[in-house]
Amino acid sequence: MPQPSGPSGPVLDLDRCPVLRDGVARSPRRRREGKRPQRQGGGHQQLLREGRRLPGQHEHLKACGSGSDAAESSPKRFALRVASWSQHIQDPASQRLTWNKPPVNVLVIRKIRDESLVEPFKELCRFLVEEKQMMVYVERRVADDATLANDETFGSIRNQLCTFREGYDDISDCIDLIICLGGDGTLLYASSLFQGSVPPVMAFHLGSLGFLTPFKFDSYKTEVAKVFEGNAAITLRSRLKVKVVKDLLQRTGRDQSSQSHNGLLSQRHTSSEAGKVSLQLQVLNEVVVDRGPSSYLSNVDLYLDGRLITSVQGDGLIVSTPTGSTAYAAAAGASMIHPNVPAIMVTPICPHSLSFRPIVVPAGVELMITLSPDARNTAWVSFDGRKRQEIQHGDCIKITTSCYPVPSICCYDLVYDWFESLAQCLHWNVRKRQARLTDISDSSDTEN
Amino acid sequence: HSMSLEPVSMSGDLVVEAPAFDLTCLCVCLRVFRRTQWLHGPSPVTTFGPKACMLQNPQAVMHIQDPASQRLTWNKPPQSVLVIKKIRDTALLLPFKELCTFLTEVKNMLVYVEKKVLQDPSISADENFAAITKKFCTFREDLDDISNRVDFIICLGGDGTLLYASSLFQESVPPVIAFHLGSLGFLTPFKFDTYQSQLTQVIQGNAALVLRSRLRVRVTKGSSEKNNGLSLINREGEGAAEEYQVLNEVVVDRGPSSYLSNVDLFLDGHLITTVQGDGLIVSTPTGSTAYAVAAGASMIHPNVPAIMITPICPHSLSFRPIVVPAGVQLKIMLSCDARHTAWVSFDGRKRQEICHGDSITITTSCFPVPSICFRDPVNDWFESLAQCLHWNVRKRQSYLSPEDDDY
Repeated sequence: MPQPSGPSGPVLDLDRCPVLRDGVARSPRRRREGKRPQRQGGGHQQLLREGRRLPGQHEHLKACGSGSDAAESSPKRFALRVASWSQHIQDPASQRLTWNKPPVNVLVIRKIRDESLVEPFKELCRFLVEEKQMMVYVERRVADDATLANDETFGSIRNQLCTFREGYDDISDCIDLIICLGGDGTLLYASSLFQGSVPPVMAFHLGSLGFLTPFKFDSYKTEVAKVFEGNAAITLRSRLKVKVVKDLLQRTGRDQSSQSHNGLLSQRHTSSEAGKVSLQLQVLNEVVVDRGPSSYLSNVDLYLDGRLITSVQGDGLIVSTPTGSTAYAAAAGASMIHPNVPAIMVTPICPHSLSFRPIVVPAGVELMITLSPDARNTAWVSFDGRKRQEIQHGDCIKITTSCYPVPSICCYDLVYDWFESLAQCLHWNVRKRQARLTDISDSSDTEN
Repeated sequence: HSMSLEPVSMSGDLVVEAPAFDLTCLCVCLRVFRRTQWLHGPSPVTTFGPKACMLQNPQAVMHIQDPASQRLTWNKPPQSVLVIKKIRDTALLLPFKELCTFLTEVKNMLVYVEKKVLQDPSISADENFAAITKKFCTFREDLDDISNRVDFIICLGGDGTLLYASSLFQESVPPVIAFHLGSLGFLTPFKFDTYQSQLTQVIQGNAALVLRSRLRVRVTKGSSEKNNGLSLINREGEGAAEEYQVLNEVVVDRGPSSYLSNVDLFLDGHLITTVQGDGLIVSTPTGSTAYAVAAGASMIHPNVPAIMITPICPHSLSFRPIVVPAGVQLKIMLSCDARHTAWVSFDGRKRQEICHGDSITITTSCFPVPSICFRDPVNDWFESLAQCLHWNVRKRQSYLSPEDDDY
């Protein structure tokens, strides 16, 4: 049974003893005689047989009151408190998709201003509608595309498409599967349409491999058929839940009348709007706070779990998911994080500081960004590059990890897909290979 | 001022007290922060749209305790304690003696020390301290195994003492409380001034823990054959193997050779890249603020389950450090084209040569080092970033009042 954590918080499980590894209390009592003994090969095989666990090896915790340690001479081992909270998660390496009922409604997303996608799009729709008897949804602008309208042979298919208008029609409960054609942006768009649970996403690249588009369009028929069967490997790409709260801190900066920006006075919010959540969004790549058109340094304060951790003075700040770590954050100098590491990346953009290294924090923290009271100007925030808006004194942006990830279907597996995209998209560590020396001498250093 | 971190309500919310600065009124106020998620993030909802969901695989389910709620408790009261102090630091002598006297006479603990500590004449020749010295249990590093005899560990004076403690325990590690005497260290969050009350709290079982993950490293010597002095056949995995537990990082470098190191990196059996340059660092989150940060890596909080891979001076314009999930298996071998051997070291120790056919296998260990926190894992870490590395400290740009010019 699925176990959503929900807003009510974690369930306290008092019956559970501190974790025993695989239900057996281990008591390592290896004695070293003389020198360190060789570790038995069995230990390593055990590791492999149990299967790798992606978030990390299960930590060894001694059970309290374990029978094998009953003797008086046993060490007074520590234990972790019984009444601590715990959660069950499925090991990411073995996460698979399954269907409760056969899928019927498929949303097809394609980049609108790309001519090369028109033919593949038509082929795909024909396949889904005629061969697979699916109900295909597309955004209205995609269906109204002139090239499609002019194609008479496509007419019958076109009449069977369901259309919706972005921003007006809510399709979040109508879609069973999403297929994206042509570029990482289509996945960000898909993510924006589903602010709650997201249907599985299958993303195809037509030109070169993308970060979020692992499938090659050539073999779409077999790949799509496999997905309908169920049992496809999926990567749960975590998203950030972002709230913009207006006027929470009831601050007006130092001088109430100085909320000017290029000579224009910005509106002050009425007190009735104080503390109001003006926007709540799910973000797949990153939240960017920057200085906008102002030429002053941005000056924002960053809080983590209620504690002020630093002030960012510079062009701005990026708070990103692991998925987003290979996007804007990579350009800003961050390390690249695999999507299955539960973390949030905090990267400054051109900080005016010699010591602001990006940091990686646990996924469960709450971040808050506000304008520093000393800030000379307002800041601007955007979410996956969209819905850009101004942040004024007293406003704050709250960021946590969402419980609604984007389930991306993998082409091979979650490790191989990611490294392939690092190599193809970013040419990660590609250089001319240094040739081997023709005469081998492997002991001391030779002359250069 | 010690902060209590007991959960306030049993309804499932964890409450953390953290100091926060409110600049507008220029005072320090205690804000109560209500955490609503596991430190690892919320359990993801496993239904995707109206028809799809996650296939439940009971054999691949992990049961994780929320790191933010991990606290120390004792099955029985602790009786033996290992005290580790840096040997060549005279500033530590007096604190060391004070501490041991307190442990032996006030707390009735059995104190273990490494034998070399007693060889210091300032200790062995001190008549006033002789009564305490007599009650010490000594052991010799690499010869005596104390892994099941020590209930907890006290480290005095520097991050290196924690690395040393970690090296003594190749399996389960007792809880460690680490004191700094000069300035705050990354791994030494406690100030020695208040050691008596701090230790009393720990002995009573009242402390927050951070489980610092370690890497389990195995070096397997390949059996390589030379035929008529020509090229070597890389046959791996047939030779002897040594295992190490590493708290900071494993470093593979080019040693004294002036050639580029040329090592292949495998992840879960796939060759992911070849490192050409000075070398490679594979580190834990704890180690991400050590050598890896000098090599340009981002800094990872100890509660993020990950492994950091950072190149050292790579001869490449595109080798950005990467962070991979903690459960992967890494393997490092000399590339077939490598012009020279490489060298490997573990937390800076046990340095050895790596030849063609040898392999280094790295996974996350199931034996972390349980470090006792001063406040909590989040506060302690940011405090040490600020104090040790002056993270993002700069002169603050002043406020611009409306009368000022545009400059």
